[in-house]
Amino acid sequence: MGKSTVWTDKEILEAISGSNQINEAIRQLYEGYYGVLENYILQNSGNEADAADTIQETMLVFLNLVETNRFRGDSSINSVLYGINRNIWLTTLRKRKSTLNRDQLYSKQQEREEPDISKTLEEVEGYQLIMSLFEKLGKKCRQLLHLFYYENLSMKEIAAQEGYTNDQIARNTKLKCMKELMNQIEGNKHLNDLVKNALGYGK
Amino acid sequence: MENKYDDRFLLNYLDGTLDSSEKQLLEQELEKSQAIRERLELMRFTIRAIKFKGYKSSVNEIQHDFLQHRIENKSFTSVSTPKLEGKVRPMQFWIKIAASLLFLCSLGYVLWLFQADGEQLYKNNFISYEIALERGAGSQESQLESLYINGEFKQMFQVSAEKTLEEFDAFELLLLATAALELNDPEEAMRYLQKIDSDNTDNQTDDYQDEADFFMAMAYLKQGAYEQALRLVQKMRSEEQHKYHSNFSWTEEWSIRLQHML
Repeated sequence: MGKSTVWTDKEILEAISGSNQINEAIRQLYEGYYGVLENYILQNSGNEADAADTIQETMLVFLNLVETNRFRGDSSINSVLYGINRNIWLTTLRKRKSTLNRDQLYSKQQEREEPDISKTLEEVEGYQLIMSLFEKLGKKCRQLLHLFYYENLSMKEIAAQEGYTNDQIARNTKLKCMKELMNQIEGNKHLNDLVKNALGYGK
Repeated sequence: MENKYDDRFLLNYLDGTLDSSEKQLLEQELEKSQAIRERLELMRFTIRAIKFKGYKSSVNEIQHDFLQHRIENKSFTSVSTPKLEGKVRPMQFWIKIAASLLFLCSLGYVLWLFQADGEQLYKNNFISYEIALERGAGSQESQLESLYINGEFKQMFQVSAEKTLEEFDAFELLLLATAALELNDPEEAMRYLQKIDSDNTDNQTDDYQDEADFFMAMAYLKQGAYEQALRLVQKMRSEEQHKYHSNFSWTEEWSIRLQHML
């Protein structure tokens, strides 16, 4: 899949699900859909900065939908992104207590909100809190977990790259880091409740 | 929690490193134990959060590059500040359009002013004199008046041929003047109108002076005497109480002025 070509929905989903070429898939999403998503925000009381913030969140929610197998390509990427974008922007307007915009938009569009997107938004809130705890881990832990779970490197590759004696040492370290992170989550009542709540929606 | 299914075991399950029998055993246990199920879900959720952090960094970086690239592409246009481009270019465009239209309108207007000669202005502004209805109630209708009402303009001059100007009153002079204009004879009309004007000046009266002003202006225009016509048009336009105050527009005044300057 060359960088200059336009990917199909299937190719984008495969790239995200397979965790290969994720960055290229995200680039494809931006090139293909940023304009239409931005246009929605601009036409509904938002400015370019609002659009940038909302679209960034839209992309993250979409990636999470794919990651959690809630989006399998039944609808087009375009319509799903549009729905997420609209949902996030409506929530933003509601938070701003922009009564006029909220009333106008909600009265017309509230019934069109997709339940899966609401679940994902709740999950994203939980992720954000876990990320703040993740930042409290040591640098080695953060790097190890990132390389394994996001970059999809094998323990052998990580051991070689990060200077662990062998992959078993790296594996043990990863377990230790995960336990530390989970202990922090369990020690945070608000986060723990939020996660349990989000999981209550789960599969 | 059951010791066998500790965090290491659960993590290996999520990482996909358990063999099939271990995996099957755990899945059977998950059916029975809520505690293991909850622990596993929390672990899964945490891994997703770690991935999400990676996505966030990537999305952040890609969006930055994407927007930067978009701005750079815009900078190839003539306007250097991309954010302003969308606003400045249309403004310049519309200013040019407006200037072009203004220029064309001005040009057309000037051409119209120049082509509107005395004959044209006369045609556009001439109105026949209408005898006021209330006049008939208090005075007997004269022969000239009857002929004028019936449009017998030539006969008006035939019946008055023997008379001198001094023998007509102001009203009769006005009827004869307008009859002359109806017959396209502005020189003849001027004789009667100037008599009204001079009589009013001499006697310090203003009998039919407004009508005299208007029809003199028309007669001058018909003759191409723009200076005199302009003087009268300016007088009518400057006097709000003048009966013919609104009969000439400022554009027509300018047109006469231009014709006078040529």
